[in-house]
Amino acid sequence: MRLGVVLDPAPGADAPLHDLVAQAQAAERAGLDFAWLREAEGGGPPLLTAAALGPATTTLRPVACVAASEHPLAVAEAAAVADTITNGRLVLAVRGDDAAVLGESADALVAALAARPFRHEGERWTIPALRPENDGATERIVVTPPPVQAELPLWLAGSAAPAVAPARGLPHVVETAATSPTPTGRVRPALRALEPDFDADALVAALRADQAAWGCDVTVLVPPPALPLAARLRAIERLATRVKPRVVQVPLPDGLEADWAAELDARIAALSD
Amino acid sequence: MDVGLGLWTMRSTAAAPAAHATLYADLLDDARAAEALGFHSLWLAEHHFWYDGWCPAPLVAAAAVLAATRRLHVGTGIHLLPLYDPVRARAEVAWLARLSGGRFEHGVGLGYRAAEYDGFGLSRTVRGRRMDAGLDVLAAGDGAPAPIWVGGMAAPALQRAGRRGLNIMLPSTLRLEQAAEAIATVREHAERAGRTPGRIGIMKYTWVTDGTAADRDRAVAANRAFTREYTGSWFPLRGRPGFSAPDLLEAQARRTVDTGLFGGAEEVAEQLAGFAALGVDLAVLHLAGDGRRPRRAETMARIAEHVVPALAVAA
Repeated sequence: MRLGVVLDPAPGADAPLHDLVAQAQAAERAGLDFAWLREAEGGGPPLLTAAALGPATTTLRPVACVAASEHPLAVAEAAAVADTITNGRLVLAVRGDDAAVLGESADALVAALAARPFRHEGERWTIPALRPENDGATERIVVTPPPVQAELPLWLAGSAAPAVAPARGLPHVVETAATSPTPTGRVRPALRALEPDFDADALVAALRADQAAWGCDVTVLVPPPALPLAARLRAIERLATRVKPRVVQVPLPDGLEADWAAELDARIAALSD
Repeated sequence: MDVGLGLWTMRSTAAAPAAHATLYADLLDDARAAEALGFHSLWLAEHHFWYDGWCPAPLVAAAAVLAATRRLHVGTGIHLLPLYDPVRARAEVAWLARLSGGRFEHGVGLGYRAAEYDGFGLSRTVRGRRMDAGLDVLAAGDGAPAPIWVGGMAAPALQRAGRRGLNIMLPSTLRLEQAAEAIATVREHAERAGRTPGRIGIMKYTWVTDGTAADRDRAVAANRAFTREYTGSWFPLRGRPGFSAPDLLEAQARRTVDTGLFGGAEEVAEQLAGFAALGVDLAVLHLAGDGRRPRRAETMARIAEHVVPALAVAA
């Protein structure tokens, strides 16, 4: 299983970039895989944040979660540039609660993020419009530059995702603790709330249960929005040392986890000082 | 007068092909160098659906540049505001301003390529109306989240900047006396609307040579090649792409040289001082050429070491 964490700036932070960079660098240093970026909770447009984190990181993969109502051509172009700035590290997530809107957004984005000329005709958007007064308009257009990744990951989130994702072969992000979700994507991500002083054993048990029940292979943990930076950094360290090793390989030999405990707990205690 | 540098486009042209990831990494290196050399600002451009990958999302590129620097201002020259949902655009600009501690300069313009409007489901004919509606949204509430620069030289752009008390960004192709007229128009419309006029900016194609005729010839040839590709492909001349009107294309290539700054450092500084005397607050030196000129770092260093000090003396 891969792990990620949602990054939020402190509420009303004077220097939100400082906060976000500190969390991203801590997550990268600790070997976490994903940094989920959202506009709620004071985060700003996530594709801009993904680009802003680019120069400060080298391996961490930003997941930019945008609304399905945004114009898919603008999203595709911004995603292509953000993927180029991060040299192929971007994951694009689209959130929608209306199946028609999320479905159309996903269709248009899949077409626009491929490096070939495309045309999209739907209820909300026609790309390109082919208006007769627009001299030089062509039936198909191509997004340039194309994303660095030949297949930029596109994950669907929100309440409409389970209805929309399977037919399109796209991953949907499981967001509730509801019993027995049935994701169909080759990648099976989940968002899960993280308590500030979470019990590592309980979290490991929950992630192992998701893994066993429906093949969850990416969990992005969501700390409370108001959690101060120091507590976020501590949570990242605990996830990396006390959780990730135990959900990558299951089961571990008897005695190994107990052997780790004293050293790793001491390291995290030192972070609190 | 502040001196900024432009325009970064991240194009992988036929004459100078490169990986786009490299071009964006170079952008960050160039920005750090520009900051270290003391330049006021670095400016990005926007176009869409072109073979060379001309940056279609300058606000995204700006986010990375602002994050990689501490003092440098970063601007768009220009952002095609009418293409976008203005409420989203406002949120994006506000985030750039907040992330950077107020270092984002929001240059906006209409663009001219109908295919770009068509891609976004719009008619080119609505671009002026959408610009005004967009500026209204940006100015709503507590006012615009970042300084706005209206790009252009046509009467509606000058009137728009003046009427709204916004900054104007004039294009490179104005001679001194034409720039004076444009500035007077902006001021007149500001006064008529009871506004304080904004700042005056101007772009200038700039080639600082070693002072010899041979080096100037090289610069002119490189600038001509750049302009021919750009104008030929993009600019409607008699309503068609420029290559279909070779006479006008050649005339435009000449005009670009005639109105640009070509010469040794002191010559360039003297010409810039002329614009400063008109009340121009910001000159954005346009280092176009796309691989046909010496490395950007050398060009920037030459300007910082020779042109900027000479400008201080001349002005």
